[in-house]
Amino acid sequence: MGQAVFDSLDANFAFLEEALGHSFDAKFRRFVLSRSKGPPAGIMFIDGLTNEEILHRDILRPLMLDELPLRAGPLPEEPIAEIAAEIAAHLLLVAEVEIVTTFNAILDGVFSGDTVLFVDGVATALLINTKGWASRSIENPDSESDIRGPRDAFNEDLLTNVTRLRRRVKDAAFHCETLAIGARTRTQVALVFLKDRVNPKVLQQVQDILKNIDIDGVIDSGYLQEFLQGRRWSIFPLVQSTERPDRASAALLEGRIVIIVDNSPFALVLPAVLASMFQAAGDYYHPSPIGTFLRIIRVIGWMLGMFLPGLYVALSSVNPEVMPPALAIALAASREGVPYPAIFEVLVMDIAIELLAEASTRLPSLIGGAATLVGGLIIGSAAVEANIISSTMIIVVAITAIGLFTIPSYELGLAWRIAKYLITISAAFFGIFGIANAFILLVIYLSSLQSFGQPYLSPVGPYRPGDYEDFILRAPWWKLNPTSRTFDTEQPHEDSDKGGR
Amino acid sequence: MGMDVKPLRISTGQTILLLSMANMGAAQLYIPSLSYEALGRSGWLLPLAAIAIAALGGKAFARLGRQYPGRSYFDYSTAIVGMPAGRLAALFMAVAMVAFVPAVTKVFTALVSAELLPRTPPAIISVIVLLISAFAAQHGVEALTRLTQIFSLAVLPMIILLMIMPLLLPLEPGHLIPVSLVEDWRVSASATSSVPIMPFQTWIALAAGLMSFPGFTLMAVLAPFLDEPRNTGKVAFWGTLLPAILVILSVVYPVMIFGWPEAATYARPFWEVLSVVQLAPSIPIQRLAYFLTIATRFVSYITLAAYWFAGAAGLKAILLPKATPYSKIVWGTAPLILAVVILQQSTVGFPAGIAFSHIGLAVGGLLIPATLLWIAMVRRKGRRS
Repeated sequence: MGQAVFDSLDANFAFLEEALGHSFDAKFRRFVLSRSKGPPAGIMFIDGLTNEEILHRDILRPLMLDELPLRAGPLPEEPIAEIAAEIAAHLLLVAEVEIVTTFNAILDGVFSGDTVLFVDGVATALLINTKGWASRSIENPDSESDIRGPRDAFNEDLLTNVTRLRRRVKDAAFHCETLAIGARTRTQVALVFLKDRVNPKVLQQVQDILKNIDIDGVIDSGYLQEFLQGRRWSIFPLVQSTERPDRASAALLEGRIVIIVDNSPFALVLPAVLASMFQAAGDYYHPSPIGTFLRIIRVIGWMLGMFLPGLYVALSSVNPEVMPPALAIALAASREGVPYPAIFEVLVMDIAIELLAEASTRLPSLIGGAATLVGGLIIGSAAVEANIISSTMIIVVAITAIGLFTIPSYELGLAWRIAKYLITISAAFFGIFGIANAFILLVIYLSSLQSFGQPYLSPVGPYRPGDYEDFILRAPWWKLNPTSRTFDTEQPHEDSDKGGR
Repeated sequence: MGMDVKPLRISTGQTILLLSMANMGAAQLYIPSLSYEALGRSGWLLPLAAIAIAALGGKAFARLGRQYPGRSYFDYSTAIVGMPAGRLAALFMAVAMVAFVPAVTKVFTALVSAELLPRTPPAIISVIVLLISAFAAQHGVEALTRLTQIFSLAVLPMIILLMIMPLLLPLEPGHLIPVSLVEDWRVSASATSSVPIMPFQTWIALAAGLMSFPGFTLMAVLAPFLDEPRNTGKVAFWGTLLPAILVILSVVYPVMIFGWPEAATYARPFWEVLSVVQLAPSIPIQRLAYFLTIATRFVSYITLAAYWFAGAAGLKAILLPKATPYSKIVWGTAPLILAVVILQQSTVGFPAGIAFSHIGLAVGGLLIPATLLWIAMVRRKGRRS
């Protein structure tokens, strides 16, 4: 497609028709310029990607009815660029017009909603911005809902998403670079950052990674996430995704980079650390003590979700002697008649919860809730009555599920849900010793992770006392120093084997 | 901004913490079972002696670290005493550090086996402990430091609890054992105290006990990773003093109150906790102590990884090209360490089993650095004159 534009209108149209396989949505329109006094011309666009009102009112109408002020009639022999510039300057009522000479550029443009104008006898074309398509309106952030704070979420339109950030950060340092990724999809990807806050080395590293991505297509930002994660097999997200523009804007202020992908309602934020994914946007909209309280609740929820199934298994199967006698008796009584070991109970119920969660995600919202209710209540109580599981197990599983669902980041919550099985299975074999082993293994692994030079467990490992004001504690705004919370890593790691990017 | 993290560089504070946690963990596991057995009620003197010796060793290594910035003991030992002797000395030191891992693994395995998993073969527990330690060690000094930073948060509450519990509660060592086991314990304790100890073993045990303190053992390897070589003195000082203070508070203090071997029960939180929960389930502070002490015990064995890493780094510097990852040497030495642990578990008494690691620690850890320092100082004086 590196073919240069022909000087014949017919040849240009024929080439495009052939290239597009006579697609029904590829529209061609021939006409004569300047009240039939000018040369034949033609436009081509993709139906559905263009704003037809702009096309009719601001392009076709002036081209066909208005006259070129200087040179009406057949175009004289003169430099091609000048003629094209003259049409752009005097006839087209559109802000963005670009002169192009190759079909590569033309196809990139028309697939993005531009309209191409050919003039017979001119071996160049004008690419006119007529982008306009039906897109989802701005809706609530479903996956990151909160009681307080803005209600808008990103949608699938790149420009709209960038605009949502720019509306919040009205700063000349707000930079937005775009590039196309995907050999076939040519998906537009925007790299947004604050020039005076971002770490240039991290920025350079991100740019290099994005430029070197060799893939057929990018359908969603999740595709890029895997390339950006240093540890490609890590279940823990090393790049944060968000559908909240307010959250992405806050990340910009911290010196982080936001990546927005066309056709994806989820922006990527990097670097990302574990602590930042425990924080919800609403923490900053409530008063400081409330925000802190919510974070503590979330940590408690995480601890319960991670350790409760393992503790249940360890205490009921391996180390019952460490319980007070009354509790040990109560637990044993609740398991009376259950023929299976505790680990079987826990795994069956955990998998049942995963099934319910997955089913409720796939089902329409109208029946999703009902299905979850039916699954949770009816199957649970029936299983207890049938002596397949104990009644205590229902409490354990319910608290576990609720606890892990309090984590604001869906991807991090998923990672912990998987990691929880390591602790539970280890507890089945070695009791409390097993729980501790599994937890230590997890911490070792997490200690070795980095996100673009940022240790994943900071500010705890390594200690960063300056960042504790926005860790579990959410200090009042007048105490929060924005520069202390920036993700300004001086030296991003390049050795992905040692610790990721 | 917080601490700057550069590849393979750790700050002064991180180095001190790593030294403190490693020595604290090793001492907590090691001293009660060896050194106090040898010294009895006067065992609390041991850490004081250790501080004095460690201060000298730390000072020596601080000077060497400043003299050879960016290089480890394994590098500059050859520069001091020449190629064959320096290589041999470095090799001894590396082996000593790696040898410390089976020694402490044995103690920890015994604890877990006796208190939590009596029916599980000790060899399996040892394998798990070693696997986790190796996993930690292979990630290198930076990840290891982060790990100790995180787990160190559990250490302080435990020490505070260990300090205040004897003051707040009318506890006696006999109360800290399950009722059904009290009589057995009395018999066992008197039998243990009546077992004659070979003089050589006593000496080795003392040397090994002392080895669990001095920061210079690790500092010999960590010096090149230090972001500011001029801070080697500070690292040596605090890396020695902090663990000594922590051990005095958490281990020596009960010995001073209860004497030995009674304090052994107190110094072993599994016993204490299991029995406290059973005997006095209504006392919340003891429940809290239960979880904290268990957590801290596990921290102790994770710090084995620090010694393993140190030994691996040394062996790598001596034997392998620089591009070789630490993980290779860590996993390469794992079968050897496991074999030593199993040998220890399958044999009883000295000299079989634990003797190897004791000798390695004593010779490599104390004698060789002292000799090297002496030679270095003599040479320096010779040059001046």
